[in-house]
Amino acid sequence: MKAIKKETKFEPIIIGIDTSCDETSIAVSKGRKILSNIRTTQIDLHKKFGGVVPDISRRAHEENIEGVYREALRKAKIEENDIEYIAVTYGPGLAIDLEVGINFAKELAIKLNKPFVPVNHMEGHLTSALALNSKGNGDVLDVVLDNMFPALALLMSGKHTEIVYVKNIGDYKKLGQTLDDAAGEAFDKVGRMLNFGYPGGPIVSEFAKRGELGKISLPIPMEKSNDLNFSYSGLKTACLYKIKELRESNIPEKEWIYDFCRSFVESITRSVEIKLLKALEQNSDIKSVLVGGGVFSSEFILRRVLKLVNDYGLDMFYPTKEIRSDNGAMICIAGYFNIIRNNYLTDIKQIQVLERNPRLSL
Amino acid sequence: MEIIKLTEQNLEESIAKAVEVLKAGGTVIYPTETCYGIGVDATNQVAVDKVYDYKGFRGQKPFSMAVTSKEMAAKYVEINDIADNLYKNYLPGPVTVVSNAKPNSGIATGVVSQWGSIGIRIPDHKIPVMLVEKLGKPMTSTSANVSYKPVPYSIESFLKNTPKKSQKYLDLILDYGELPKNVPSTVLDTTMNSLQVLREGKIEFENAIKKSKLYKQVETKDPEETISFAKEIADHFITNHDNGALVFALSGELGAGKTQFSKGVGEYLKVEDIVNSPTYTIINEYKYNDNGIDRVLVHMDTWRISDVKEFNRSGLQEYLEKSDIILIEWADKYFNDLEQMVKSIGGKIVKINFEYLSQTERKISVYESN
Repeated sequence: MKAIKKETKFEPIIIGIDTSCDETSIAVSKGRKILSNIRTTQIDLHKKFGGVVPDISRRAHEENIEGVYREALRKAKIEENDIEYIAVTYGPGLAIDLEVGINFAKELAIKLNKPFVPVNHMEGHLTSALALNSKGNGDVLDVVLDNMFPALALLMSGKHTEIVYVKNIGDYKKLGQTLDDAAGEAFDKVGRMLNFGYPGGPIVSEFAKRGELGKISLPIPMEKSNDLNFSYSGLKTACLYKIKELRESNIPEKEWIYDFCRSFVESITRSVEIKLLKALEQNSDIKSVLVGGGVFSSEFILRRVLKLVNDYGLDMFYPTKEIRSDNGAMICIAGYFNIIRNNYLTDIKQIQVLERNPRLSL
Repeated sequence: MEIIKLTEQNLEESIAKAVEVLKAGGTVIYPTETCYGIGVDATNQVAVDKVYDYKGFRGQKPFSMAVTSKEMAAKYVEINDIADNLYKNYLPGPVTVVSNAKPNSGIATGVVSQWGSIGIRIPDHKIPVMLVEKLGKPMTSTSANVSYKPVPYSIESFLKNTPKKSQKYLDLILDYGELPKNVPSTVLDTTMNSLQVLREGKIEFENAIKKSKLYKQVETKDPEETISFAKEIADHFITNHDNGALVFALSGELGAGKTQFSKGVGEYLKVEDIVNSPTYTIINEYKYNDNGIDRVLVHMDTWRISDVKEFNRSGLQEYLEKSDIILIEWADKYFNDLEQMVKSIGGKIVKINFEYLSQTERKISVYESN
């Protein structure tokens, strides 16, 4: 029998940088413990920090990154010299946005002479449920982590809707993905049809809470397809026609809007339930389910998926609200697992030539 | 603390009394369509601070305020197009609209959030409407319970759940009996929303079409036919293209088939990945092999791009310079800027318009420059 050896816990200070999305986000972690997680829009506009007032226009990464970085260090109560690893998203995302984060991380790694950890944004979402709070509390403690794989990951955001087979962290196989729009995108596009502007998805979600099911019928996407792919363009068109019909009926909007939003949220939720169940049935070795991504900011969708997984007899792990939509904390977590697997760069020349990969996939 | 049981007979006089209390910086408990609320003059800082002390710890969560019309709200906040739509269609009603406060709005801190925004309601209940009208100023609109206690629907249960030491903050209670148990209002933040996704570039695009030659027009029955047609179009234009970038400028409503068409071009080039919507990434790259040379198909979407500055720094120019094949959805939004960019670098634009004929059928028109 192997002697159980008590190891010293490996908990390096990691800085996680994400500029692949609309907001600049930087976080600090100690191992899997999140010490701070700052996004551009979270910065108090009344309190100037470091002389910089954040530019809240979308994707103003260049202008904001230094300020967000300083705030992340301050909130984590660490000094720059405490940083041990620099993790950064190098894809997927818009090339020009990714470059801002990568260049910032490169300069930092070279200046501090610390390892550089390139992270796949999607691996960030996938591992976001594995984050612990600053005190080390969370659902996935080390003992859980040792026994949860193989797992299924369901990732839903504005950009992505996919189901991934996770043999172990770092060993992924995509089982299904969206053929056209992502679920989060469908929310925002329907929000736009209802004149909620952009992003209109959160308003659709809120209105759905006041609505009643069964009053307005909408199709359930990909209900009959046999694979694990998603598609939301048909639902989008059905919504366009339904809204037109309701508007032409001259019934005041406030009499149908809540029920319409309720039905729409139901259609999205059903499509996800159907595919997830199919994926579980097709992969009998699965021990748990991980979810991540901004669509799960909707507690309604989260609870429904949670119920399905629990009824199936498995545990489901999901990130706390703050790290569901795009954020730097999940880059720390994915970075941490890459560090453990020795997936990082220390050679300055190698760091300098690392390039963004806009189409990076799991 | 005084409690008045409201009746049809004492209504006017009770409202007048409550308004005097509000004017003097006092607190009034009043009914709404959702639950009992606690009101003070929202422009009186001392009074608002009193409500904070009464409610107890609630983090940084600001109080909403009640007004009687959109016009009244507009005195205190900037109403953007999104908020305007919400006021028009859903208020009065159980919706709180969050907008940015105007500078020097005169509204107390705590109603104005740390972000400089204010949540505003127009109650669908005559009592708060009468109070605000008579007061001539906005009144705080937050549930009457102290933090962590149940939301009150009757004065009896309210008093039972409110500790004695908290009750000393209460000046006047307007008892309207048992209220229907409606869910609290839905809070909608419009401060980060923009309608810029609506930017109409249609006219620029239509003018460009008028100056172009119609190459082909088809009606497709379903997405599969749109994909086949895209392959045919890709074959014609890619085979006959000599040098410089080749841009397919796609225009059409949400769901009109722009992404399906792009899939077809991807299939023609034998791209291995699934070509899907680039709305969120803004630009997607797909690798393909062109007679032994690795090349990139560029798929762009301007739907989320909010201004020309953002369009110009999207990275499109670099792709044009590399002479790639580029698909652009919502190309009509910045069509003049696009045309100029392509002209200055050297390249060709093929304009493609998508129209709905029915839920599944589309009319697709392809135009090339004269």
